[in-house]
Amino acid sequence: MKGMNKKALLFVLAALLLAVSVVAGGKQEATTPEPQKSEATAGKQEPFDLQALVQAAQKEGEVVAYFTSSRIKDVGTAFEKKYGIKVKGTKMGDPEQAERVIREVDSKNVLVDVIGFEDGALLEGKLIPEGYVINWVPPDLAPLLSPEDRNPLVFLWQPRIFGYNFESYKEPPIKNIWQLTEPAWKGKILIRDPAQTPANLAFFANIATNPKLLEEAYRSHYGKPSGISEKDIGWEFLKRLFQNELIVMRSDEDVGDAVGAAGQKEAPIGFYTLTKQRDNKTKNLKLATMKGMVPFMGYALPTYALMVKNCPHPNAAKLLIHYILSEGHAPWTARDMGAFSPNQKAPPHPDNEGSWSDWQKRLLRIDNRVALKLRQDVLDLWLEYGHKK
Amino acid sequence: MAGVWAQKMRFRRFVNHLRLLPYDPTKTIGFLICAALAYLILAPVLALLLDTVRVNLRDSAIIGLPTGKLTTYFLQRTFLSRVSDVLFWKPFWRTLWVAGAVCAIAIPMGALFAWIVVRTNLPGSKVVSRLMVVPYMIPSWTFAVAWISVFKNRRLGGLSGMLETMGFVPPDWIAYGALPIIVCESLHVFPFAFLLFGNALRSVDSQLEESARILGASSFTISRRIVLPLLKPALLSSFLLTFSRVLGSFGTPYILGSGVKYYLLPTALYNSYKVGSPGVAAVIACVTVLIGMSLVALDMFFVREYRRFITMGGKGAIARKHSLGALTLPAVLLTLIALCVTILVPLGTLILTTFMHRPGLFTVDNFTLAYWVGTNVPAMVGQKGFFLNRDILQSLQNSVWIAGSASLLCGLMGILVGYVVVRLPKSKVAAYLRQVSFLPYLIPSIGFAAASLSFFAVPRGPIPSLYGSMSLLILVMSLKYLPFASRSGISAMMQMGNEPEEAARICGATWLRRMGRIVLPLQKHALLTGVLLPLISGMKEQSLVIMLATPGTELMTTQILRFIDYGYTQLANATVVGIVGIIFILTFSMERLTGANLASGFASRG
Repeated sequence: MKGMNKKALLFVLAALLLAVSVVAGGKQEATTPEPQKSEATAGKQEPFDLQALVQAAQKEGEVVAYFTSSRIKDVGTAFEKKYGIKVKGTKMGDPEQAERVIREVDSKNVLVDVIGFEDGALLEGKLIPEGYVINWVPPDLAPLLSPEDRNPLVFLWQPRIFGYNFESYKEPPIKNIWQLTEPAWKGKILIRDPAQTPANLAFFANIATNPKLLEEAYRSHYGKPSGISEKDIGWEFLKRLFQNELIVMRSDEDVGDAVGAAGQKEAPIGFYTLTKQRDNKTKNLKLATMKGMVPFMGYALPTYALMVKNCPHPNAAKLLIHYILSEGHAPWTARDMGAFSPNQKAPPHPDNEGSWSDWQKRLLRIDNRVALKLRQDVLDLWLEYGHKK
Repeated sequence: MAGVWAQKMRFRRFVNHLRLLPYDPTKTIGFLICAALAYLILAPVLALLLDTVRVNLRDSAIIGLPTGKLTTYFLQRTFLSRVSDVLFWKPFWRTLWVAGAVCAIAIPMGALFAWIVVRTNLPGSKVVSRLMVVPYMIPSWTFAVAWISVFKNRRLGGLSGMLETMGFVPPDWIAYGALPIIVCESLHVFPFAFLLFGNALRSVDSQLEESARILGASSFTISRRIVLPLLKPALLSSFLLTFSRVLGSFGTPYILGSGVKYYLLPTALYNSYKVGSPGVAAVIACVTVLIGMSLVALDMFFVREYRRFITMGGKGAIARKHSLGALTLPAVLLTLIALCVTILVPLGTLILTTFMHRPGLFTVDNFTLAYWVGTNVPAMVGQKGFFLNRDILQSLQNSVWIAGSASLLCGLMGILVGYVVVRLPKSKVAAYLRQVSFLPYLIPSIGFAAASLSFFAVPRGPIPSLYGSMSLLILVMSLKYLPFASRSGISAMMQMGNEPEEAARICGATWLRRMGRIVLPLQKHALLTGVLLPLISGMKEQSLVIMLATPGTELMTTQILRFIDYGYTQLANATVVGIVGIIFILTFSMERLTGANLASGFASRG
């Protein structure tokens, strides 16, 4: 363990050094102005005219969007109805979106205008600093957003949480995160493949950098201190978790279905977005949240909305972002339970088990810089221990 | 003075050359094709090699090195790091083991049925010999999709498999991993050995065996000393080609292996690419290319070695058939069982599931037409039945468009290559063209796709970035199938004499006119085959396109995997049934149009 940690430290140091040298080296040639800052300040100084934006957007006629959620299609239909601007929305995973945006911008043949993106680490580590995407916050809506949701701009918050089958268990079977590492749950924890889910890797990276929470949880569960040093405890927890034969699935949908299927004895537990609980009605699932889990039930998963550099329909792109933040989030937040708009005026869904501020207390908030730094280490740890039988 | 004169002459010769260009551009065209193929085939492979030691865009954010920097990081990570076991070595050994096991099942199976069909008086052996090829005709992953529909258990989530619905929960080792992959691949590739052994057995003169018997050899000695040695080339070929097929197939290990983290090289490559480490993916791709090349090289070596054995002599050969006698019934039963297991059961299961809400639950109200014609499919948000489904129709259109254009392009290139090779015999151009146009055959599909993707994703000279475009798919597909088209082009052009063209040239016809009025009409048969075969392969292609297809350019074959990923079992199965239907229709019409026997067509070592 110690060796590993040294390695991690060395890696971090090396990464930092390199990052510094890259930034330093890149500065001389970085002739492109920092678009995000100028945009932001411009927005504050000039009075924002929504009508003018609508007119300019309507002249452009359409807008192309890649989103991680298929509901962008419903948003598009409503947007077109309201403004008469066609939305070409496609569901696309994070790695593919990143690949496309980078390729398109580099080849100066940009096809996409707006991305709905979940990989905050890549966003803050590469796409924004290197100018591939532009963070545009609608000035009239900015006061309704909390400052940390503005940069980069979050348009959707979802709890990704541990949940269980309430038909199988009378009360939440997991009360403390350390239980997940115990033999009782070996091979019974379902999760979307971390290797293919950057946000889950980010979550694990942030667990590793929160030793105090883990130590406290350990003490409250086992009644004694862990005896593991502060810098190791996070990694030790992850290692034990990965060694407990997590079962990997392709989507949260699959996890929810498998955990929640009716008529199971000793059903597995799973890690999935709260929205899957909506299927309790449509698919007769028996999903419930791990209420009271210590130190957290999961993490807050943000979806960001950003404009792509040199996009073909910049005004329509801005209008779409404006729309999604003001009322266009409805397909996610209003129709079904489980997702929250950062817009403080948006009413939460009645089935949500509380407001967003209630949920934030139950969830770990992800620091994208930590995620960027440690992601490869977490991935390697997962590959090393998560694939052993 | 002399120098000036020579210069003048050279200039005049050049002008003359230009004037004659419309009449005899063979050389020019030869050079152009050479250059084009070098750019389209050789350059991507070199670029792939370079990618193994150069920091890629997406890697740069994670490993903290600037894009374009040379590094050994990817090689170390793939072969020597603490994760190299998972990234490379395990998939590598597993691939060898699975491929070996498939050979061990498929080759004896194919050889046995070849012997029964060719060497015995099995009733209806003509029909059987045609039906035996069907499993190879239908796409390889059909078996995997059918398998998962039956054996899927809770572990994968989504809709449960038929057996689980009926109350029997299959254990993981039956549902996923090595066993099902080996079984499904074997069922798909055994016709390969069947065809090779069938041809070999047909050419073995049974008089050899009879002479041996007259001389008093036991039947064991006869098979050991006479039949087996004569079948050795078929055995080696089917071993190497079966092996390389398994190495190149993506769909089956993806569908049956991913759920239990059982990766083979193609899926490991795909994973590394998807996870966002193109560098490691390039290293794995290079390994698959290396293995693929050595397998084919070995095969060609053996084929050449065994040319020395002449099995068709000047004397009339007799292929006497053994009488099955009392064994007739068992042989017929065995054949029927094989045909059922390899054709009827998988296709029947797939068709059946598309009519059931919960596959495996046999109650009246569980049957439905919703997955074919429904406007709102239950439990699949926003999806409609097969015939109304936008995703499926779009992918069908893409498949037809991509495979269609690719096969046309491929057929034309094939004829052109053939023309140049035959009209410029013994030239360097001809030798080079023969080799380069054959190169894609040596490279496993997924490695070829990886190479093309990394090469054409950025703008290069006059060619814009082709990332995510339809043209990339068309281009890559037509290049991958070029070996077959150019071979058939060469052999077709060989049969055509120079005279008709010379006559036309004397009458003043330009090259284009000669091509349009003489060569192509005379070669329409070869052209048709050269277009239809790639078209059929293209419609069922998956390994080649999985890394290239993106939302918007999704093909039917990749759409199936998306459906499986979402857990939309019935729609996936309906799409498979759709493709198989299309392939049957195409094959049938090809037989009708060209008079070619499908068995001989598919025996061309595809």
